[in-house]
Amino acid sequence: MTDRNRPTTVGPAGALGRRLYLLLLALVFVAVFATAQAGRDPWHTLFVDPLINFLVLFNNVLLGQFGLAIIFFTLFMRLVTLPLTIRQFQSTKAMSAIQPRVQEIQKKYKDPKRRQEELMKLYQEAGVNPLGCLMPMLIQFPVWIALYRALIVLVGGVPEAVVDLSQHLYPWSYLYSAIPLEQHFLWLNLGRPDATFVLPILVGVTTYLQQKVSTAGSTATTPEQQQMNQTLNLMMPLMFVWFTLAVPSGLGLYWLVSNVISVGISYFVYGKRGIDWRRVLLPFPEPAATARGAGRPTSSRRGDHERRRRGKR
Amino acid sequence: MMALLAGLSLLATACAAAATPRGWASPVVSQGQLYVSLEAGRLSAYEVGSWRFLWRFPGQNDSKVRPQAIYGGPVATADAVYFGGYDGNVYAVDRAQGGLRWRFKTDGPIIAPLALDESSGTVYAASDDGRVYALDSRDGTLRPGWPFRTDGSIWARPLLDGNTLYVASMDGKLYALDAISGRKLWEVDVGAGLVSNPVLADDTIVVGAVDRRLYAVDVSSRRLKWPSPPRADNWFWAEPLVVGDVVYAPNLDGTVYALSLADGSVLWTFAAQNPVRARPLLMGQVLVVVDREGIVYGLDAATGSEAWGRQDLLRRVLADPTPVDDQVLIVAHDGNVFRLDPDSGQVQRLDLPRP
Repeated sequence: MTDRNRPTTVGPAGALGRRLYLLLLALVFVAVFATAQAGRDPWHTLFVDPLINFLVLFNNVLLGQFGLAIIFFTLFMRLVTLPLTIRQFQSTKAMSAIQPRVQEIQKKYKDPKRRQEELMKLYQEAGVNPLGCLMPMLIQFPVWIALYRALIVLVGGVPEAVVDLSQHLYPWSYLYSAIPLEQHFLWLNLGRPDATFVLPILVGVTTYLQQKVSTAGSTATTPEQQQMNQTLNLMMPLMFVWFTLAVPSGLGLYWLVSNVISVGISYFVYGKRGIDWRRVLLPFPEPAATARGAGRPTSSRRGDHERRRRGKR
Repeated sequence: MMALLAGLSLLATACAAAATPRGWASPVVSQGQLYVSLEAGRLSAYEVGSWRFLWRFPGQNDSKVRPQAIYGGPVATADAVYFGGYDGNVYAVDRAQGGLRWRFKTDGPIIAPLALDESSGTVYAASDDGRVYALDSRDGTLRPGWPFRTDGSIWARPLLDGNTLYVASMDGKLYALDAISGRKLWEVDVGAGLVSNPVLADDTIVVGAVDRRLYAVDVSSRRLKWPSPPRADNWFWAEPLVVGDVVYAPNLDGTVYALSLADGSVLWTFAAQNPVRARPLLMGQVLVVVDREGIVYGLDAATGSEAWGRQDLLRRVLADPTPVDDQVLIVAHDGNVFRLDPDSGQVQRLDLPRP
């Protein structure tokens, strides 16, 4: 395979990238240790509080419109973590590019050990790390959690939450002028769940689109995986609808904006032709489409079981 | 699978911490009855001493009445009890039976305690919608000339002094209004959201702000009295207590300040373990302070030294403690009630009967 035909190299495979990750990790560890030594809660001091203050700052810059602050802050955070997100999507895309060969190997080698060896060889040859999409996600994970915590403190709305907020704001009078935060945005009261069902439905629809589009480059290799993907594609949006009905609308607004941005990034990474919109919009893929690239229809569970049984012999 | 796990974790985090209004109304004793909110959005009445249960509002049959939460302690007359609900309504409840007399809807949650002028039969309610309403205490009708509108939410109790109503708003201004007509007499712009209940003493209004300062406004000159208002590390949310020429002001940074009313100079400070939102209470020479995590302190009012050992209620406390005879009632955020002997510092749980 020439370099040109190779799929994009992804993951922290590059030595520089790996060093940067390690450096970042070391810095975080040192900061956590120093904060704990100073008798402060590292999680809030290093992660949650800066985000809270940043959000309040956005609120003030955007003329006290906290809804706008959430939207722009989400955009900002997604921009900051964009390299990681793109890397994650590229990893998925690269894995997808070698799927025909993966399936060939799976067809050709019935012995699991040999099959695994051949797959590893293929990954090495293609310069693809099968776990490459995990690392960027793991790094983003604490940021998401911290962002959630920050939003919850801010959009709590109730006076008890404002008492708690007082413990997180930095001593800067410009920030205090935002208190209490304006809770109304469009038809929403950001501190309360949206009783009109509009936001929960929007969050559900965009979560579905985001799920489908972000996995547009990937192909289920087994019927089990395909079934799991289908279940996830339906379960996740429903779960988010349910949660949006229960949590403050400010959090729902964050999910909505974040989903829309994810769809945009997927479009950017996979390109116009990389996304099969028909497949995206169908909740259940047509049988022939499930093994795109492999050229074989979906096998039934029973058939798959039969093949495994024969393989054992 | 990772996405699913991530989603589930985030959602669990989000939902575990979603805030619901609970209220922090301080208990009020009036004419032998105790009015206290032990559950979110409900006000109960007890006979003081025997602690016999009298009524609860809203009752079992008031399914359409939902105050959600009560943040301001009620005010009572001989025949009615008034309070503001987080649902934005001002409620008037029959003192004998606990039935609804009337209610008046404002455009925002009511967090501030109400003010009552018994002589004119007027209830003053400040709302989060930024307005102050003057209501006829008999039927809840709005008095002519009202409401008065400010440019920020109002979370502090309107302060009535004669014919003047003082209103501290989150827009950073202290307003003086004609209590009858609702006309603005004057205003002082502090420049930071005023969050604590204002207190009037010796022609001076003392009020806490979110810029971490405590302000004193001279009512006669309509100017700030202290040349350099004392600054803490957090907000002065607790209602200050003024006794003689000393101001006792707890702060959300966990410090209790004793200040000179004359010039705002610090007389002494006491460091509590946690932020303090509840108003302090002076019982004899002992200043009773309760911090947010339920630790009770008895301080020598003259020096700030501890008069007795700290008592830990092991419960969050945001409501102001209330004197009942020679004891102090403390209502925790979970609805548990405690009785404190301010002389010895002994705390006992008071099991109020519930319907």
